[in-house]
Amino acid sequence: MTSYALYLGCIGPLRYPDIENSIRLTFKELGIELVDMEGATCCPAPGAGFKNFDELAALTVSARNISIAEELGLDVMTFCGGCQGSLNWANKLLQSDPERKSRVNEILSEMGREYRGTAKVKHLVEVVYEDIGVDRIKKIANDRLEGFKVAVHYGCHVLRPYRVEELDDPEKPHMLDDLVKAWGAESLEFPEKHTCCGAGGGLFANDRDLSLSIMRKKMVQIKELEADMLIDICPFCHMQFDLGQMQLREKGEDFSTPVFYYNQVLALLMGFDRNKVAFIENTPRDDVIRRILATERA
Amino acid sequence: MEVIELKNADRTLPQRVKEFGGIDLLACYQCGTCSSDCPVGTEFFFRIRRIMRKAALGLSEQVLPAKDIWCCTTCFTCFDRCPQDAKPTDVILALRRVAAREGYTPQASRNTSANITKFGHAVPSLEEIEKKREAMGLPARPPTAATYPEAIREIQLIVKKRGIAEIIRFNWEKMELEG
Ligand code: SF4
Ligand code: SF4
Repeated sequence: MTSYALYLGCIGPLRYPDIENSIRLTFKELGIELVDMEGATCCPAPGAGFKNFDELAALTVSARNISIAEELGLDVMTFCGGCQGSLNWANKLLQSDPERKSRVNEILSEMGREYRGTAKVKHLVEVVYEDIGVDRIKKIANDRLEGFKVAVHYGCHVLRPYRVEELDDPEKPHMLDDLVKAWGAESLEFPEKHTCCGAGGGLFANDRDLSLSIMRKKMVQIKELEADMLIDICPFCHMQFDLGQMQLREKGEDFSTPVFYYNQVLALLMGFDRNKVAFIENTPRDDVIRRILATERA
Repeated sequence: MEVIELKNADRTLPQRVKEFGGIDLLACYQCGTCSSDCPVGTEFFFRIRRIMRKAALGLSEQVLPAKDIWCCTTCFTCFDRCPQDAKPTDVILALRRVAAREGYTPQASRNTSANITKFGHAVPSLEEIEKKREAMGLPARPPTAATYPEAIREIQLIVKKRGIAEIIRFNWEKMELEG
């Protein structure tokens, strides 16, 4: 059986645990074992928190997290762009830089830990694409979402910097598009498709208005295309779109595109109870969930 | 037109930026690719190309106290597209590190680091969410630092070793930020 150490991060388990559960349930059913990383912490984020103040502190926190997976003898699977960005950056930098690695291990040894550099760090989208595969998703979905218009959002740190992630072409990625098309749905093209959600780098908290205006530009196009839903693969981007649209509504604007993490819709298509996989939201999803569930009988 | 007196410039700034991770600052030849692709620049007068130049010229008084360096979302678009591989995102992070050591740190950024120090997570666990977790059959708290206090102590050791508490002005007795 394929197994990964499941790295949870912060926003997923502590704000949108329905995303976490949708991942746990779908992976279990699809035969991929996810082993908990007990005592893992914040990754820490690529442009918020410790990384703003001290590179070695950020590297040490990441290395500590990765060392938990190393002890399990497993590669890490993240499901957040920010976590992926932080952990993969730290892992690759430390694997190639013995001096930094020994400075990190000097601190880790005081807590009885050691970072070896033996594990890989993969984002969920890679695992779904490579280990589960588009064909398997196609069989599950059976074209049920034909006629649904989907706006996909990869999130910056899943793809960039390319020399760290080396996953999909950051200028024209295809993995998430393919995985959405595998449901039978249409993946929309629009000018701001690959623009940042505006939440990263600490901007979400540092300047909420500016952060929202970056998101708004994207949402205007998604709304014009009458997308049935926005699909993301990062709980932090997810929070930006879900909560952010509510905040725009509070300012009198009309933005209400339903937002899902990829596995939430996959879980619905696999027959999991909505109340276990997609029920925490600030922007209502009832209508589109009803339409998704109605396709079962069609 | 604004005249910049370079004789008053802070000659140490480019060196400090390099020390704190912006190692290729001086490779920048001011083509403007970064600014034209920046998601923040279209919404606010934030020009990463200008910041690159100002940092190289040592205009510390203009760069370090301003909010601009804290507005980058670290999307890494400029990082990937810069024809000179000057790594503008790394320069931004380095400038934040230099600015923080001079006392210029936005409250929100200090808060995030204080949270990681207190909880091991960027955000605390909330009772309301814990109930929702339980309703789905998950443990109230995830099997992370939210469940294992020794993990938080390990993070605090890293904070102490690296002087983060001093930079963000975190009071260990009160377990809160000062001011
Ligand atoms: S893209 Fe690179 S070389 Fe061009 S202005 Fe920006 S940092 Fe300088
Ligand atoms: S990394 Fe920062 S400066 Fe560069 S394009 Fe993104 S937001 Fe702009």
